Amino acid sequence: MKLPNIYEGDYSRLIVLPLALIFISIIVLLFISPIKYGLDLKGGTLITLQLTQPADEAAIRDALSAVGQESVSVKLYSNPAGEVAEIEMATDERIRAIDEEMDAFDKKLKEVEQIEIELAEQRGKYATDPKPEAAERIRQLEADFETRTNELISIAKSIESSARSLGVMDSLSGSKESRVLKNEVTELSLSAKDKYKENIMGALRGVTKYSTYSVEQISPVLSRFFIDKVIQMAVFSAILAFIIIFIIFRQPLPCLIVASGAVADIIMSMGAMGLFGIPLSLPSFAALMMMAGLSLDTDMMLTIKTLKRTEGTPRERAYEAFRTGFAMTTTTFAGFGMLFLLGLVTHISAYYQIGAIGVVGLIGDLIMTWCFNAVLVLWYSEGKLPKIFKFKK
Amino acid sequence: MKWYTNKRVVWVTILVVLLLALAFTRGINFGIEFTGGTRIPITLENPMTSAAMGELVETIKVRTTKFGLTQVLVRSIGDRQIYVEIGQSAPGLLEEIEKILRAEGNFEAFIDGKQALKGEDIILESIRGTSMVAGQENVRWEVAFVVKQSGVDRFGAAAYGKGGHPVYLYLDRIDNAVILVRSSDIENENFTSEEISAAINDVLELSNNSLVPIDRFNSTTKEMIKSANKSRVVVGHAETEVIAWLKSENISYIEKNSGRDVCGDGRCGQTESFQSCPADCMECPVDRPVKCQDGTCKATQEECAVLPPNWIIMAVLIVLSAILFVGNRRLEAAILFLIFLVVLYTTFIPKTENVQGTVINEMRPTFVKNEMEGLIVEEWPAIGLLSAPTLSKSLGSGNVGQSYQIEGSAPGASLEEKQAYAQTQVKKIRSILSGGALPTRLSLGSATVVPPSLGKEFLGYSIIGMVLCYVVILAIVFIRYRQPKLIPVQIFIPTAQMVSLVCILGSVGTLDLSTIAGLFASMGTSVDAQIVVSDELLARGSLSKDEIRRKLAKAFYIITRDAAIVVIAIFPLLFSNIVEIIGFVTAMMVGTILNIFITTQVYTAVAESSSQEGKGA
Repeated sequence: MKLPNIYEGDYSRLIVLPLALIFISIIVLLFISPIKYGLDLKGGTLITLQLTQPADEAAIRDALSAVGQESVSVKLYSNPAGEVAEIEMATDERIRAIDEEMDAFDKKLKEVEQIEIELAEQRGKYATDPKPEAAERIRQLEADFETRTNELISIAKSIESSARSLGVMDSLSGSKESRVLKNEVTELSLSAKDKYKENIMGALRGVTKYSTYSVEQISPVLSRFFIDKVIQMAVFSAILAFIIIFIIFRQPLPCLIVASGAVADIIMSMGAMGLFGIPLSLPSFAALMMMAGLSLDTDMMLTIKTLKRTEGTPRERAYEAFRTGFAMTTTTFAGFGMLFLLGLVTHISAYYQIGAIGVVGLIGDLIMTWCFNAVLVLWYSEGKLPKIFKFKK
Repeated sequence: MKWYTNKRVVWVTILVVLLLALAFTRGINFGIEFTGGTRIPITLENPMTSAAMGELVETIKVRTTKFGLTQVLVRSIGDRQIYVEIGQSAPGLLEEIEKILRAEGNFEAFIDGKQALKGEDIILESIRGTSMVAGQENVRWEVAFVVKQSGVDRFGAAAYGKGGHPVYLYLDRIDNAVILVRSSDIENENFTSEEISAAINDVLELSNNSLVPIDRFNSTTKEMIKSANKSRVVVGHAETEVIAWLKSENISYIEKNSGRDVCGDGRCGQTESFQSCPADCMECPVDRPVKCQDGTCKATQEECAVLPPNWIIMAVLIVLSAILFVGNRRLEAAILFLIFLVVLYTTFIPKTENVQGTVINEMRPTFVKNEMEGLIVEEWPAIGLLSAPTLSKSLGSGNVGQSYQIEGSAPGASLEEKQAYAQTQVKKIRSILSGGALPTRLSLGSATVVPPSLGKEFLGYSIIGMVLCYVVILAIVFIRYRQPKLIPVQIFIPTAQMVSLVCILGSVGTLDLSTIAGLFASMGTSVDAQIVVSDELLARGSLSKDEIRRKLAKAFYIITRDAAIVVIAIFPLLFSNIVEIIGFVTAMMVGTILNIFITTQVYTAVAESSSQEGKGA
């Protein structure tokens, strides 16, 4: 099976395909179907029930909305152990409010305690050296302390009412002691979260029968942390990769060409993610980074072979690289394809996501490297690109 | 000389075989997605220092070991996450862990029987600890804190005239209880038994506790416990017989760590003949009291394994060495034999283990001499007593403000020892004063429970998938080249790579979901390097030795740069400390590096052998 030499004749027409795909991907991403975030990046709760009897999706939705949980997504499928119901919901507003209020409470508590410490110091000094200025300062501090303690108490009260709205029965004792308040408020917020979970599980128990279940909860703080990390890693990798490419090629234009191939591939993969509903989560992010690496691999192999070798014409070399690269991509495709199939069968989301991105990314790589990158490289080697980008040899 | 007798290929084969032996000896670890079990992820909302993290992990380990004889794995991931995994569904585990992590202890300070301070008196923000080197070799430590006005009055009253006396610091003080101890817990060769009983009685009286020895647990003991007429019993958690009796009599009890083994799978430690015991085992459990040569605990001596645990590796080494010797490769044979001798030596020499045990026997009191009261109990976690520093004379004179210090000088033989002691003291006292509260808030992810049957299914499917993938990839390679001569090489390289990769990842790391995904990806990319090299070799050009070497060099240039790019692209992910990603990344990176190594070695061997053949022809 010999691949046709696509670089004979007017190969420049090849670039139409990748450009069109990039354009379509951008349209899809921006207007039609933006990328969904996986649970770990958007926060929320995912409950997986291993059912012992088939369940009714509408019944589940109704039961949950009866306890105040709207915007629920329910998926029913079967895995090797039987039927499974997967219920995903966003973090309840009330829980989010409690988390924020707890943050505010902690901050205010620190302020209150700082003032107490200063008061203690001043009082100690006053005891040994009673100056009127010191007395004045003490009065000021005491007033400040009073104000802030009241602010602390009002935050505690709003935590109490948030907890009440979730069905918690306990209340604050009315003590003004900061330590006591802290303990009470912590108890309240924990009870609230427990109550919330009980409400949900109770609702589900009413409409489904299951043998085991697992609950995955990602708080907004945690998902923000993951997102930050993801961005950090992407930037870091990009910089490192670019440095390596530059070390290998030394000329800016080939570097740009190689990098553009990888970027184009990523855009196309993300477009496919948006179109087919593959969520962006931690495993799929790792897979995207890997695709970038593999894409760079084939781009580099092509560029090295075409630019740095001397036998035959550039077109022939590009063709040779094409044959090698095609075989490389096919085997990698087999690997990820298997993983994707496995993910479909077992419903293991990590396999499914990584496999899907692998498959999509590799198809994109084929098109981008050999129709986009190769064309650019051939233009460069045949002198059709502006010379301003070349360093003096 | 055929390519497979080339010494490079021989070494690659030896490497693979050794890795296989390693995997067989250590066993392959599977993640709980495949073995089944419960996993509780704990995420801290602010990062902790590794020291604080280590302490937290130890506390959790110690408190969860009471969940029976199965292994509880607690691991920290980076500075923000802790995973608790247990190999079966454990009802109550989640609640227990929540309790541990959220528990804020009740702090009290007592001077000569009077309560001097309560937890709510202390301003948390103000607690500061320092240690410094004073003079030549002395290390002093100090913990300073500020007390609210309410505490000042209380403290003043209790401290008046008590300069030089100990201040007993309690966290969750236990009162009105019977404490069940063994004589071995109480005896101390440095002090007389009169001093010891006086000290213990003092501290028991304070909280209306009493002591009953349980060296012999018979009807007399049971009578003593009942007639003491206290509201509950404090007992070491390894005293399973006693606990069973307490349960049957409906007597309420509190379990404290008693340091007797808690290792569920037969590990035990801290005697000379033990190989590599984990730090949290002290002795063998009561139902398997025999300590075997190989470091496991068995019920009777006969059950001890006769062969040492790494006999497989040793056997493999000897056999390989013999084969090489017969095959006329004296040098390699000698090297393998040397490795065998080293392994033999490390297996059989007696080890003087100085295992740093981090499990404290909470039933055991520590004593110290106090100038005012003689011998006192300084620390006895069984009743909640955690420290007993001395009250300074100035505070005892009644002049009390709101700022206090607890200080002391560190004992020890060397400067390092003293500094280590000082740091531990400071940490301990700070933690006591703040009620053991954690410095950061947590979100407890809920337990993921994977039933073992489901896990096995997943594993089965994954293995089938991998085998299929392997076959498909090989098929693609054969179809492309149709070169019968190259087929053995093209089978050997991916096989060697996959086997080594699985063995390394499985025995040193864990095969969890993301690692297996990485294995698939690695399998897919492993043949890439081969394809590049084969294409170069089979391209036009003569087959002279120089030409081959040049072609190989060009091919290797490409594949090493390619490997570098992939490794660099995913390298930052290693530092993400996110479990879902790390397995995948590790598998890819190790796989890529292994692949480059094996591919280059084997192809160089092929080149060397074919050029020699060319010459001879």
